[in-house]
Amino acid sequence: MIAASTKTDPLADVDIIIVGAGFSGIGMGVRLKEQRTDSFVILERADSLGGSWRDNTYPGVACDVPSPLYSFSFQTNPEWSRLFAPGQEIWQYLQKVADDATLGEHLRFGAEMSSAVWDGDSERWVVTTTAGTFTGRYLISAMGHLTDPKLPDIPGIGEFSGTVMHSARWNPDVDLDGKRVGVVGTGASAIQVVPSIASKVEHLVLFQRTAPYIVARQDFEFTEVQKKQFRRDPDAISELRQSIFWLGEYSFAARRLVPAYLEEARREALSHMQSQIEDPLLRDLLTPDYEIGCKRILRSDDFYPTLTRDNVTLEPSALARVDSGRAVSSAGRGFDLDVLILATGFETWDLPSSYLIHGRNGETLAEHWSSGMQAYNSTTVHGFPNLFLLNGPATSLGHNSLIFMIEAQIDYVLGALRWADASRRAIVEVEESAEGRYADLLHAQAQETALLRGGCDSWYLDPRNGKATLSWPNFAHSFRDQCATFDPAPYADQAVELGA
Amino acid sequence: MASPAPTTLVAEPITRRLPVGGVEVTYHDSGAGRTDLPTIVLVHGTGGSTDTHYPFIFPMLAGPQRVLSIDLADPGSPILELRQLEEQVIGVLEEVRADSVTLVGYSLGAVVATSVAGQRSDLVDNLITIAGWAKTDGHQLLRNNIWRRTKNSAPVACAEFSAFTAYSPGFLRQLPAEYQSFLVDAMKYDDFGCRQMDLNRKIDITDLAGKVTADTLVIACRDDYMVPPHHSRELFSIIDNARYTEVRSGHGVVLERPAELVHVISVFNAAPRAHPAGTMIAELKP
Repeated sequence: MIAASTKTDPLADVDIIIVGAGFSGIGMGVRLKEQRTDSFVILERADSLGGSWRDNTYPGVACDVPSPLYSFSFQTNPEWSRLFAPGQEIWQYLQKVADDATLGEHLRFGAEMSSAVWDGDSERWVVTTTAGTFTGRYLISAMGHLTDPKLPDIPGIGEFSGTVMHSARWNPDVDLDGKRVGVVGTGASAIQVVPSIASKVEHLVLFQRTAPYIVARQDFEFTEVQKKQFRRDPDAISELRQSIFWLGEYSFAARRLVPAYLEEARREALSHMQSQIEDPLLRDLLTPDYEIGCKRILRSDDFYPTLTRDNVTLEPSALARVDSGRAVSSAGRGFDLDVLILATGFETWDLPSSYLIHGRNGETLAEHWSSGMQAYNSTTVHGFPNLFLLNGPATSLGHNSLIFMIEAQIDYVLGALRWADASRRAIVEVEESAEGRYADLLHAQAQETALLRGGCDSWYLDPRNGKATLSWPNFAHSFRDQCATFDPAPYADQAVELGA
Repeated sequence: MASPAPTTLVAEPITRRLPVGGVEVTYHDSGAGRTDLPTIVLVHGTGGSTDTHYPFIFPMLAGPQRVLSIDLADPGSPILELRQLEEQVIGVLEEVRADSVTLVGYSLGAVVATSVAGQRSDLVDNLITIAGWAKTDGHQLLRNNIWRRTKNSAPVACAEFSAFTAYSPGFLRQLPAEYQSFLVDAMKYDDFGCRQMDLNRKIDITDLAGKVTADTLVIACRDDYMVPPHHSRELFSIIDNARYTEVRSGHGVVLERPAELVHVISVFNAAPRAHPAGTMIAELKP
């Protein structure tokens, strides 16, 4: 691809460069507009906005956080079709948010970042993309942490005669009718894919390395009357959002291992499984061998029943290798398959985007994070002046809405920008010690939770340091309480007077 | 498949007993916090205990700060006086002598806590009242009358009525039937509980509340039919150094919206003066 020229682009040189046009990038853009800041560009590698909700189009894709809460507080949506809206609807919602804020003029599609380099002389970020070069005083990374599909290293998979696809790169042209299909993984995507395709395939084999905990989804359609109420009475949405939010917060007590709540959560999940699965052998295979809350607790009403179908086989071990077209499990059982669906999740603790961002002295974020990622207040990194990370380290949640976390971070970034302007600071850079103390505090908290004490291996964990660096180990509200308001104290000494 | 290794709280609370005025008061101590935040001391409401009113709040507040929770003891006298409960709280506060204390009371516990704070400013640095009141009014007496008239003659109706008034309509409507009957069944009052119900009829701490100097947060429950928000608004007006906030919940907020209470209490305890006295603090809007 020929690098496009940005010579004529009025946004080639701006105050703020946002990379990524998912929930974080769009939310940031809307809030900047609201502050009458116009000097920003949003760079997006794909040809449309939407992040995960653009990328994940597999059958059955939906959010497992109720939609009235999984949406921005500054733009609630009375039109959700159901409690857990399908992925397509979430994508459309995000597009509407961007349209309503007239973000179009700020968006640059097909602009995949190949590097972002801090230029200490000009004190600006230089971002090189497939759509040309952009420079800005601030860089806001809004590239998410469930972005780049993780492809398991399976010997022989290259020689698989059929089709292989990752759930986040679904190819609708692949015909599954009457095919023998293997699904690898039992995470949030797999449990949505499996029930959605089981009735059309000839046979489905589900490779399960670890059994998930699954609770009832309790989904429902919003009636026209309810939607009308949401349109007429905005407080009805507030009321519902609060009720969903605080119920989610309630469920954190189990993750903090408070015995009564742990027992309640375990009982809820296991009784859901037992109510849907009668076969004692299958029950046994579907009983997790780790503590609830260690991995994401999933919601489904149709996953377990699907496993009882005659054309579905639960293989209770991982996919180990492919031998001349046969998929072989780690337990040694072979299956002849036409299609392999990898519902194996995403690169999480070793973010590909971290290899592209170069701070002071050219050091990459990946190098800075060689023993594990961390950021002060989950947002700023020492050695990376004027860089803000949205939805990066220590922002993931198992029990509540990520949008709430993103909004708290956006508030923090806006506070930092206001402070820098008001105090005429050119540089916003956090002190190294503050970054370390914050990481230590989070690790201490994580050690009190099922994240680290639940006896499982999850995508939250960084194998390099054994820490749950991706996760916020506390109530979601605590993140807003502690991290949404900008306090210049750990920055002041780092800052340099503008023009000094 | 092997069952998982048993997982438990990292720090188990320690339970202590203290003789006060001829009775033994039990209190639970979470142990030192990670920070030097004020120690939170919890006082439960009518017919309650740490187990029944603070099963969520006690462990979830512990960690950043030390948390103590008092189980009020039955003094055994035929008529329960507020003073007897105050003595127990004062006894524990004097025994513990924490550097800085945030006294948190719920319902009747809020009455006790306010009264203690009004008398012993040396022991209470900050005060939080949850669904508290200063003076029993006609609305409360009417509810109390219904409870008294039915508790022996129609115990099921009495329990149903108690649950009906304890939780908000929004909470009850979304509960599965089996949970609703669980809540109704839990509405039991022992002898001590019944004498607390009698005490609830004659509360008037208006004067002592006026003497509270502690930094105070008054928490009201919007849908409270036992102690409606007008009582908290009155406390907010009596106590000079008070802030006010409202939670969308029934009186049973400790079970209905416990996580929101943890939020409100944590934020206040971390910076009691973040809002000046007289502020009506807006709810968190997720």
